[in-house]
Amino acid sequence: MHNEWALTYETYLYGLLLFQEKDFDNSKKKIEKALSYFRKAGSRWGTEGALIGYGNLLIAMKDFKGAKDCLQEAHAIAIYLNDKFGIVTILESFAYLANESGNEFDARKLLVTANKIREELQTPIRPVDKKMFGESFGELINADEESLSVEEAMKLGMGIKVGV
Amino acid sequence: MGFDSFGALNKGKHLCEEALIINKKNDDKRSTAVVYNNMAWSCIMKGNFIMAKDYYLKSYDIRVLLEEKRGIGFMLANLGWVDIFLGNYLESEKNFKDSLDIIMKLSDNQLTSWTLSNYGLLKYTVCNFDESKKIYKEAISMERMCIMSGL
Repeated sequence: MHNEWALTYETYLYGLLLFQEKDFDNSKKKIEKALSYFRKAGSRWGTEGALIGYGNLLIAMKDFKGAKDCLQEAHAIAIYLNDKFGIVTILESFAYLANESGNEFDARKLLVTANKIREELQTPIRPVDKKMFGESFGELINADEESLSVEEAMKLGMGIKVGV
Repeated sequence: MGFDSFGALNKGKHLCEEALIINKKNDDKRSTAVVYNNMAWSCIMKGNFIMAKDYYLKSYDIRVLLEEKRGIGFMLANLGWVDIFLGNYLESEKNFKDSLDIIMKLSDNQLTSWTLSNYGLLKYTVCNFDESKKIYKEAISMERMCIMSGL
């Protein structure tokens, strides 16, 4: 394991932890640092992951436009890598964005679609990700909702109105 | 980390499959174990954790056969990591602990740091943030020491 890459990965993980502790400013610094390194090193997988984490942080900080830009870039990388897990986490982040910007209907559609792909991949949503949605998670995921195709869901996510 | 860096994901997979055939012909078990590890990584990048686990187990079995302690510790850490994504948290915990038991005796700070950070990820995943923070700090400090000493 290359030390610089490993240290960046560890810095990124620590940034995510600070996000959970609601230390947004320090979390932002660490995730930005990691993102910058992953880009410089040409690691698409690392960049994609860091963009999703950064997008989630920006949603929590109410920078919806910035978050949407990150998720769109992450989506392009996920398509390039054919990373199905990346697609799932991007859909969940779009659901988080929809929920935080007051659109529970779209959030439910996105989350149900992401959950369907998770079942195919046999990778359940993590306790820490459920926490991102707060108490509304159970209500959003248990709804009697039909899932969309990945393309429809991604179009829905990309189309979320976030204002200027 | 090379597969995605150079945009050669599919080419990489194809080369791994070719390498497996050659290694088997030459009965080169050590190289076969390395190839299985790389194939697991390629699966992870596509979100196929089930297949990744299968490749890691194949690599682990070979390393056990060869009695390669570092390799066994490394594979246990990889299995612990992939189990996080499969939601097997208890199995993940056991794999990380077993891995650390082996690795720490080898005084391999780089691998210990890597394993610790992923063990911290497990704690983060299950929302044990205090424990996760403690482990991350230890991993980062160890990684910095490795960089400073030029390891």
